[in-house]
Amino acid sequence: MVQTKAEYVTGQDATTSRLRQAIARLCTDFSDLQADRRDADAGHVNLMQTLLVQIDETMLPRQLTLFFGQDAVAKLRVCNRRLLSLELTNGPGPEGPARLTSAAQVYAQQLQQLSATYQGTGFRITRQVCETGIETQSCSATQLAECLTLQPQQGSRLTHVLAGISAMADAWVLQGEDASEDSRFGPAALTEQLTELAHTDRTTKNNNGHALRMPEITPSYLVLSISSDTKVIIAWDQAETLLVAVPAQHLPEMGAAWHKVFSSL
Amino acid sequence: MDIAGRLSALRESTPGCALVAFGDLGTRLVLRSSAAGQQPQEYLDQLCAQAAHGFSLQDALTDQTTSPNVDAAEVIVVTPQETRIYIRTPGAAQDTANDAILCVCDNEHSARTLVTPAMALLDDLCAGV
Repeated sequence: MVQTKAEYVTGQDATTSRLRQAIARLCTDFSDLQADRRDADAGHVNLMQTLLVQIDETMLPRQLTLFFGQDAVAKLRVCNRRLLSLELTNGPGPEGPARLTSAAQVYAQQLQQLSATYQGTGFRITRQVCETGIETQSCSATQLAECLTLQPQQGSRLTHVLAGISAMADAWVLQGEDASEDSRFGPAALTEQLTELAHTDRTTKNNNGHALRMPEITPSYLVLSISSDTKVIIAWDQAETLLVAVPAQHLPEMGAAWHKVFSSL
Repeated sequence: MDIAGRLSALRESTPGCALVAFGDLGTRLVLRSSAAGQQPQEYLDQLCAQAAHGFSLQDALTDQTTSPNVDAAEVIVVTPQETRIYIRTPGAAQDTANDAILCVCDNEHSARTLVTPAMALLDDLCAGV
């Protein structure tokens, strides 16, 4: 039956080919869809590919909500096969307009940071009917895919460290050279503590000049205590600072993730 | 045994330990040290400056938290080549509050094994032993 319906759409061009694929997916057995969902939950499905397909196949206004575990981490409004808006619940905001010049670039950068943060974690996507207004920051799945292809390895070394340990972190803050361009995750009280600590770090270094240059010469990280069972990591690499609150029992994984990125230097 | 001898004994009894030093966090100067090889004074003083910076961040964090069980006695710094551990006595009297033991090891496990004997050394120095 599946093949029969799909075979009615004939022709060789890309449009009919995509339509054929969409109809085939719509006609697929319910058990196959359940298997797809189980694979996504288990982290065996490519998140970006899934999102691109969902955007490309959505005509009527829909809000896609992306979950990692029980946490809703992003809401995407989609209509006419275009991504209209992307709202991250707790995650990083977009880069400044000076560096990213199109909506597709902004969304791609946000999705890549999100993907790096939850690398290997299972996900699920729910769909609800939504309203749309006058949209000026939209992009197609194709435009988004092009941006994702252009910047697959962008992201700093500390971003790669973060990708390896974010799943076990209670909270984290990643700051660039300009402290106002930070990304953060976790309870507000804890991220505020980390941000305040980063401010103290910068202020102290500015006041002590050359005496403290050793931490800047090579990448390094510092282990501090915030309670008997929670450690705070401050990692520096060039102009970036990463602060992570992590349960003490996960310190070895933190060290392993950091050495994986930096020990080949 | 004098302090230089105690530092050497500490270093030689810990596999993977390359340097043990006694420093003053207030002046940021290393006063005594024992190392497997010759280390320039600038490196030693930068170790002390880094320890002072680490403890200042630990104190800032402790001031922010209500937890009574914060371990403010040690700070660990990891680089691609080495692990440094800095140890102090948080409850020390004012005249010895800036005393610290600074250790450089080739791995974190070795660094952590130094905490207890370094604390004992600081206690002895505090008591004038």
